[in-house]
Formats: sequence, C-alpha cells, structure tokens
Amino acid sequence: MLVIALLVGVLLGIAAALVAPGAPAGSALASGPARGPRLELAPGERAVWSAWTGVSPAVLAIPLLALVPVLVMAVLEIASAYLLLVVLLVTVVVAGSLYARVWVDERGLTVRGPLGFPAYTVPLAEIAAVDVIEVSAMGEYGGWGWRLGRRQRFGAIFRSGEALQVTRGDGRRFVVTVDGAAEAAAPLTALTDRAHRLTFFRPQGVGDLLPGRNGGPGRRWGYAQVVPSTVRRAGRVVHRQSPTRSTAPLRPRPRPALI
Amino acid sequence: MLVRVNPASPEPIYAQIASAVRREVAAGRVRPGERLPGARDLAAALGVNLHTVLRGYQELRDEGVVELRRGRGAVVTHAAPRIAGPAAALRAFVAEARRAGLTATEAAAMVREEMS
Repeated sequence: MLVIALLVGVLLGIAAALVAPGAPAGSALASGPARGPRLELAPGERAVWSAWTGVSPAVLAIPLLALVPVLVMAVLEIASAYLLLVVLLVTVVVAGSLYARVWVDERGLTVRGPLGFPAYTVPLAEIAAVDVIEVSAMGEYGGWGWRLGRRQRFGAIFRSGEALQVTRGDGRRFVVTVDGAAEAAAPLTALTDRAHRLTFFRPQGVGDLLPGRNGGPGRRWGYAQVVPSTVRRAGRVVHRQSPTRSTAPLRPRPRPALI
Repeated sequence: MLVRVNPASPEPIYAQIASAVRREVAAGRVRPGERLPGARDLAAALGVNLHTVLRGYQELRDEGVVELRRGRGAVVTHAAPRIAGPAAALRAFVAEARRAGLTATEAAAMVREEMS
C-alpha cells in the first residue's frame, strides 16, 4: 500500500511540475522595480546566493520504510528481483526530490534536486515581488516535496516555517522552504531590479541604426528595456507582421548556376 | 551563503570568493559540516572560470576553513568559525605589512609580540 501511495505521490509530483510552468509565455513578465528587501549592488557587481535545503531525517524515513516490506519479500523470495529494482529506483527518485540546492543568481531563482531533477527556475524578468513567508507544509501543501498549493502556488516544500516566495507578473507564485530566506531575498530583489532596469544599447554596426532592421526604428543609441531572448524573438515576429512597414526577411538571391 | 564578486575591484576574483565564504562562516550563516556549493555550479552562477572558484576554495583549505574531499566537494571544518575571522583580518594585515615593506619575519615578530 505504501508503495502505491508513493507511486501516486511521484506521479502527482510529476504532474505538478508539468502543470505549473505551463502558463502562456510572456504573460508572466514583470516590469519596474520588484517589491522586496534589497541589497546595494555596484554596477557590474555579481551576487550569488546558494543554500542546501531538504526534509528532516524523520520525513526521509517514510520512503525508506516503504522499502522494508519489499526487501523482506525479496529475501523470502515472494517478490521478484525486478520488483525490488523498481521499488529501489522509485525510492531513490522520491528521496532525491526531498532535497535541493537553492540558487539566486543572474539567471533568477533556481531550485535543483541532487539528481539534477526536479529542477525549476523563475527567471529574473518574470519576478514582480520577492517575499519571505511562513508556510505550513501539511496545512497548505498537504505534505513534503514538489507541490501545488492553493491560490496559484507551486512549491518546493521540505518543511514548515521560513520560505522564500517569488510572485510573477501574472500572479503565479513559487515558494521554496530554505533557511536564511531573508538573506536570499535581498540579492534576488537587487538582481531583479537590475534586470528590469534600462540597460545601455550600443549599436554594433550600421545595420542596427537603419530602420526596420535588428529590432527596428524603436532601437536607438541609448537605453532599452532588457527582455529575455524568447520575448525579444516574439517581439520581432510581431514587428514583421506589422502592415505599415515591410520588414520581410531578405531572401538570398538565387545563385547563378555554375557552368 | 552570499558571494559577491566585483570585477572592477583591484582584489582578485578568487580572493573575493574566499573572503565572501570567510565572512559567511565568521557570521555563523554557514555552519561547520555544511557543504559549499560545487565549484562548477558556483562558477556558472557567478559567470567566472571554474579554476577561479577552485583557487578560492584552495585558499580556504590552506587556512583550514574547509576540507576538500574528492567527490564530496568543500566541507566547512569544525575549526572554521574560530579561524575565519582572524584569517580575514590576517589578509588585511599582510597586505598592509607588504605595503610598508616589512619582511615575513618582521611581520611574524609583530604578531608574536602582540599576542604574548
């Protein structure tokens, strides 16, 4: 029964991971200064915050205890070795999803398990607010691990208590329980601000200054909003479709056949 | 653990990484037995070369702040909270002594004198 329960848990976890990031791209983008505590960063200064987080040994014991009956059955030759192998694998994956390293850096907020998965990133460009909150693992998320909570919350929940929460531009939230969440919030807000702020655009060639090319007439020598590459690509597509300006990509001239 | 690196600073980047770890250990935000982030991951996060991070970690190992173990990475030692503060102050002292043109013997004598 425990094994089935665990399997269901894993499947739910996978489903949660699939569902959570599946909102339409671009809608989550935030702009302007993020809400939250901040750190002063010098121009060009890099800041990285990282910590290891995970469940208490008592919680880890749950998947390990689930192994015991299968081990006993295997020893008594009731269960096959294949079943034991499958259960072992599931246990490793479940145990691996109960620990993670949290990263705050130029790429955003990342939580990654020791096996490399599950892993989840909220890019800086999508962060609208950074908060330190208190969570109740059982009360709000119904347990430990990678979970969907109420009110558009997705979380890497390993215990109750102090947690770091980021809110996207569209209101979706990602929560991770980690010690020192306040120390993580300050650099995360600062990095987010910097990513949202205007950065200097320097033309790389004559083409950048011509209207309708490389971003079009809106891009001048000066400050421009930084947007992630996916959105920048989307922006170009929209620009090309604009009826007022013909910016169809130049087709290569057909080469004369070599004789 | 917070690591701040400013490429514009005259202090080498590996030294900035090492002093950031020292500061976190001395403040008690990183505790003995805790594992530092993997050098490869930290290098990627900071956008610096892997060897820069490794050099910083090696400096911490030489001071006794961390232990470097194959496959386990850098683990904060039990002596680290005692060592980290003085090690940071020592860096500043040595830099000052170098600027003043003191030899290692003279600088060591000053420390011995002060502590006796």
